[in-house]
Amino acid sequence: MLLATTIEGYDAELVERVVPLVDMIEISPDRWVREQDGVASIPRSALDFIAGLARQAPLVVHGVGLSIGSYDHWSQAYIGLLDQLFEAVPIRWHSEHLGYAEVEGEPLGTMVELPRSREALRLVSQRVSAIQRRYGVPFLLENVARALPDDGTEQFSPAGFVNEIVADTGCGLLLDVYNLECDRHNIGLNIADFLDELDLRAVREIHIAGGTLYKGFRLDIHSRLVEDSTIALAREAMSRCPAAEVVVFEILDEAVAVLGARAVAAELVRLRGRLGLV
Amino acid sequence: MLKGRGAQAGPDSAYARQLQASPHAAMLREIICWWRQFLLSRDCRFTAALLKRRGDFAAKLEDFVRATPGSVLIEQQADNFLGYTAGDTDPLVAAMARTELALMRSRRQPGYRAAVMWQHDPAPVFAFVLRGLSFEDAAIAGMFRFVADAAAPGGMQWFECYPEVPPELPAGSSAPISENRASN
Repeated sequence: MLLATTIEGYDAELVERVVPLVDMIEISPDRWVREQDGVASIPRSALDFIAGLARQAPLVVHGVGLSIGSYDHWSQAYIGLLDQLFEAVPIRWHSEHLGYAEVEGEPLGTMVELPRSREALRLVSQRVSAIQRRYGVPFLLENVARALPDDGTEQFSPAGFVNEIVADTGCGLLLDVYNLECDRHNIGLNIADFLDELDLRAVREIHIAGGTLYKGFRLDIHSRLVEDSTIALAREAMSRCPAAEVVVFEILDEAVAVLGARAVAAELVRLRGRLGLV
Repeated sequence: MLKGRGAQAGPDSAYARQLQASPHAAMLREIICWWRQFLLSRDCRFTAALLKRRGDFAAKLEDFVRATPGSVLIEQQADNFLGYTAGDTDPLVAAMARTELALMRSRRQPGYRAAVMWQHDPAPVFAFVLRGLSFEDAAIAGMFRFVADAAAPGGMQWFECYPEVPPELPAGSSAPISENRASN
């Protein structure tokens, strides 16, 4: 099992400190995007920077902006970013959140979970299949931190919905254990039941992060160091997911600016030890 | 609903109505504004500072989120916010928003040049944002012309304007003006 972290900006100190401590690097296309002539694209300078990272460690890509679950479309702009990245650097696999971030072309400014209906299942499965054909590398879906309570008309359990997509498409899963903790706190998810039901054979990547409690909600904000409970849950996931290859410590570059690159490096050393990745 | 437009949209089910009033939806709305606040404080630093000074940055952002479609592009988001705030009724805030927008565009577009009229001296306003020096609006009132110009030293310059018109003519009239450089 490998250890990885996110690199989300041109932070030379962070790269210098953390890259030697990880086996893999995760980047988000959305964090590098700039407007050029009214079009979203990754500037040449960023592609060069990312290529430099790829020379130091294998890369995986984790998106925020695809909006794979929007009822009317997915983000063509994000597909353009993926095209750029796949052309520029070798990418082991890529992943996206099982949710939506746009409605009728308007960005919500946040990520919302999908209704667990047959209609949504068909829509997402078709898109997953299309994206797998387009890039020819594994594609993973991540469980989002759910923000809204169910309406009682769901046709699948949370894990059952994901399993159906996996069965339909053969896609992989990215299991975010901190998001599970958010769901337990915010909407009463039973994590043990979820993991018992989920097809853990499809999990290829595990996310681990630290967030915060705010007004009674646990927020998926990647702003803090990882709590003991999250590490314990990650260890459990590692032991139960036979195809999992990497644990990724997610940290926002805005949080790096507050915590400091040295603290992020120290956290990676601590996580490697606590997760038994030595 | 998530952008606070629920009243206009008219939720069409009991669940939607319940959700609209739920703490979960309120938290999502707050998160949406929080991210905007974070990014725009960074990318529209001068305008954000003046709105915070006035004590209604958060309220302005809520209005902005409600009124505009938003963008995933950082530059577009900043452009939209500054364009929205350029219509503020406070002439100082409006001038700053127009100025910051002009500066952004001049940095992005070679040869771009734009002028913004101010009813206050920009110097103490910039000093407030950059060095935390306080000022009173009334004490810095005047007529200034700010020019964002990549070719100018520092990308900007401003001039105090002296209307060559009888004093009874209001500022902003079409009377010709002469310019005297005040500072840059």
